[in-house]
Amino acid sequence: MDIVVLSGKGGTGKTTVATNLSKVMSYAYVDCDVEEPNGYIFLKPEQSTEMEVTLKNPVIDSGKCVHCHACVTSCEYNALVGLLDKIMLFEELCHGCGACQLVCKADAMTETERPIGEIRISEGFAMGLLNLKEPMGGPIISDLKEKTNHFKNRFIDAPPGTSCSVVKSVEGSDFAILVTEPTTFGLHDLIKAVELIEMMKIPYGVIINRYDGYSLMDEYLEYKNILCLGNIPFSRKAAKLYSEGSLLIEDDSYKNHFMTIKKNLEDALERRTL
Amino acid sequence: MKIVLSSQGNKKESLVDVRFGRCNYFAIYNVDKKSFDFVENTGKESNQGAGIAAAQVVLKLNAEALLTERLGPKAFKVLEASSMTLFKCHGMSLEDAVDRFKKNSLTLIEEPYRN
Repeated sequence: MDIVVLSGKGGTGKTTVATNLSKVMSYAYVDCDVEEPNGYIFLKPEQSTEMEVTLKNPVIDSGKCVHCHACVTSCEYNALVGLLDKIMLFEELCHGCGACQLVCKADAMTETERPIGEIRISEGFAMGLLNLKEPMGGPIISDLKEKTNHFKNRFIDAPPGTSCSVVKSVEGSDFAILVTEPTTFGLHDLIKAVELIEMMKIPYGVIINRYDGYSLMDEYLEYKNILCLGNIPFSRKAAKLYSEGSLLIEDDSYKNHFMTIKKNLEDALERRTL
Repeated sequence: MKIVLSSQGNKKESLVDVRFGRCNYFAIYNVDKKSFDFVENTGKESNQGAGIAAAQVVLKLNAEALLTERLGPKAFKVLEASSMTLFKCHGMSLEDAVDRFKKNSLTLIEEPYRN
């Protein structure tokens, strides 16, 4: 069972939801927010296995190159440029698709593995980490999900937004939790996340974090008939626990809120399989 | 001899486009014939690397000089490696820019633009 946690807007509480729920439900936690993974701060995993993640980049043998520029034309990502006497590669734009190699008639293309980040796996915990200045988290997310397949049940903590990295995190999940906050900005981005998840045909429910009474957010969910899995109340206590790197379930009243969410989630998962 | 300009429109009165990679048109000025030709910049809708794609288009035009407002780091890297001379022009029409080019009163682009 894979449950992905996404949000649209950043900072709404994806990691708070995913870490606390993974504890109360005894699920593994997989941090796919590879640009800024922070789940480890709350779950404090011990001893991890580290693995490098690489991307295949082309290497051009200028002695064999006949300057036909077929590789340049084939590149969907504008990573190659044909100059008079050489082919220039912008490796940070290369997605490693291999099209340039396929079209090269002069056999001048080989591949090299370029490190772009790493993944760390421990007991019931895993995270990906993108190297500085690298723009593309997708390959790390795919690798991370594949290498943590042995976890029977996983919470997948997605990056913010609705970009390629989010799609990669969501792909193949059985259920999605959309975390939002009761602000205009939160609603605006939630609508985008709802559009994405409906397009990907994955059953989902919403959690309203920093809840402080009935608002436009509840109104939207009722209007759209979207399942609300529960609320996490706004309080100084929650902010303090978070800032100390503690899980909210260490506090009894918050634990109750997460138990309610767990119950609603389990009901939703059951309905999903009917 | 040909020179290329990034252009907002496809008329000689059009303004030089501030953007290089995502300009609307490339204007090609033939210095001997004193005439303009225009090609649409199809690369401006690229998801990534629009500057690189634009630089590739400009290279294929076999011009001697490029007149634009500024170049990003990737486009600059490509064009710097070519034999083209890169000139800066700010807020002027294509005609004006060409005039100043002929009078040799334009400054060179010597480094990429960073914001």
